[in-house]
Amino acid sequence: MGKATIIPFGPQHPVLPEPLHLDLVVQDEKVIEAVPQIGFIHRGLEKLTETRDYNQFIYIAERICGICAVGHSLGYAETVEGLMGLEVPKRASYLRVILHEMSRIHSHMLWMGLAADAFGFESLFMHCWRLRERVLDLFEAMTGGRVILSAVRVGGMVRDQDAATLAHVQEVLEGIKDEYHEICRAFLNDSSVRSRLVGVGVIEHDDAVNLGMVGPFARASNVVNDVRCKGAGAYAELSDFTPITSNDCDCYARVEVRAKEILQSIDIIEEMIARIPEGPVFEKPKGSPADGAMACGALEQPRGECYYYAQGNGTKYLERMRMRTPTSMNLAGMAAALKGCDLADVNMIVLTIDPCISCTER
Amino acid sequence: MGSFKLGKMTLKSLFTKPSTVLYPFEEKPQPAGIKGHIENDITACTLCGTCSRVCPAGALIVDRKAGTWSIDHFRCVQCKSCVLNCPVPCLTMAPGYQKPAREISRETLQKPAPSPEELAAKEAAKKAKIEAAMKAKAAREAAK
Amino acid sequence: MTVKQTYTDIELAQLLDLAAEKKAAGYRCVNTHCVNTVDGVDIIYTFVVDGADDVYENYRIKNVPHHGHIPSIQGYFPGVFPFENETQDLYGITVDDMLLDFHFNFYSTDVSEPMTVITPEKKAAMEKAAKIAKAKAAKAAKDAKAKADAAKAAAPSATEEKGE
Repeated sequence: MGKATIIPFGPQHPVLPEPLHLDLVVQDEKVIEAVPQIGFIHRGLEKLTETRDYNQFIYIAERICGICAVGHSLGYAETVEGLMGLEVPKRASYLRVILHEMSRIHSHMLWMGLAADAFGFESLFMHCWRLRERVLDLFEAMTGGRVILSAVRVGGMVRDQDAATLAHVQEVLEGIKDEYHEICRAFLNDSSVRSRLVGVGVIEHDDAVNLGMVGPFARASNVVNDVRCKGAGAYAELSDFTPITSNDCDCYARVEVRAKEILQSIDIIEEMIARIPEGPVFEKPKGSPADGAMACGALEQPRGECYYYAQGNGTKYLERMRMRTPTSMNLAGMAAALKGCDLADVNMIVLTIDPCISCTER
Repeated sequence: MGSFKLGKMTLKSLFTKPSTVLYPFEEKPQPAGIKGHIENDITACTLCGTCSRVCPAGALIVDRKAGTWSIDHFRCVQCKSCVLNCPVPCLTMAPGYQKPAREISRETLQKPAPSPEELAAKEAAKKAKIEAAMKAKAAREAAK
Repeated sequence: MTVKQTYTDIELAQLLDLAAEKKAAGYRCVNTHCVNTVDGVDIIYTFVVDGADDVYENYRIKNVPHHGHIPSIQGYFPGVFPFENETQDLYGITVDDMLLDFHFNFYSTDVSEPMTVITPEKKAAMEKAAKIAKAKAAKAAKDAKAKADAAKAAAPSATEEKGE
């Protein structure tokens, strides 16, 4: 029985994707326990509601995180509209869902590239990001920005998309599918990739439920938990939607769930484009949130369920704005998944929760 | 086969041109409506100050008395709030971002002083308005 | 349109029983956060159970005194340790009996309890809002008094006519 060593891992480390610090208690190459610590990128953004009114704050909400930018602006706008009792035009809610699903495609492709890089398959990483560039070019054509879009505002959207642009979106997404199937085959069927992923970082279904995990991380352990089923925004108009789950509970299952979600998102976008109604895309909000009014909202971001809460105080500044991001709920799950793994698998397991520490700390 | 699933894609990339663009020697084509910097048509601007109130970054300063409108391009986050809320509208977003520089600077535009014809036209309009108001008052008195 | 939601106010003493009840019913704890007010800190817990009604149930404990103590629900929901440590660091409320306790070092900010600091702009905004509320209340009182006087003036004349 060897002695236990404590290895500090992060926040600066070549393989770590996010500024997270882990104290790994290691014994003979096996991790016995991992204690996470965050706080390196805390910017105190929630206190800025005191100096930015509810229209200006959406630009701060967007910049909490680069990858989840569309999700945060959308969730914030929906929550404040619920607070003030605003009805958003139908065309605007359809466009919001289209942009959000495209954001899910780009986020999952980014993640798959990082996962490939984590076990050393750099050319697969480059191919994933090359496909992701096509989605970013679509964002640029639709809204003017590649990552931070500023396309959503309280009351609707900033600009409308005409039928030609939406047809172009459909064309590009269909064109991605062929090469994407080849990449999926490399992830799911390649023997060297499978040996790094299968059986690594297992979290059983009961532990997943106990720890309150969310997102694809939980769905890979067969926890059916998806806000898109709860019917917020234009998601209620989808003809049928079943969350993708897997029963394997390991890293391979998490890769499989995310890979299939991209195809599901392409189907959702095509359905939305086919059924989008005509009409205005913006309704100017009048007045301010009432004193003591409270509203909450939830959104299925690429990483999981994100919960928003807004409270008004009668002025145009919100009293409190809370954004609870999915990675904060998954930190406990990550610490549990790291127990008993090999030291070489640590960064792979950290990556499979799809960490977004800048969202967690705001 | 258990390995090398990426064979087709790897072979194809041997014969196609690279996906990257040799910037700065060639530039990617920019779509319409791309974000860039804010430009103001100062002759049409009424210096109402709405843009400086809605800007989330505090990049715009409007001085009504001195007749100046100034923007700090380094602070601007290209959110287009000013363009969307301008009542005239005189603000537009043009492509081209602020290039790196050695010092932070503001761009200030001065509203040109009105020409003699414009001043005369303003005086005439004011007089006509006062006359119309007096006439309406007289009509109200007569009706009573 | 957002998700279905409910809001209930509860007392601090009911918190642990509420957590036990929700855990037994299969709920998961979605969020824990605080709102700083002049009289204390409001703490809000949110629970949801997936697949049934999908209602986000929000429970608020009002006016926990600044620098007070609250019990931890990590015994039932171990996943909420980031939020409870955040409550300690940013709002100065001590949370007792946590499973994973960072002892006020989770965020390591320069200023302790930064979310309870009332900045000069916020203070000015609060005073302005208080002044407006006071003026509104005074005006409402004046209007009510005037209405009552008018009613009284009308009533005696009615009784006089009746008495005739």
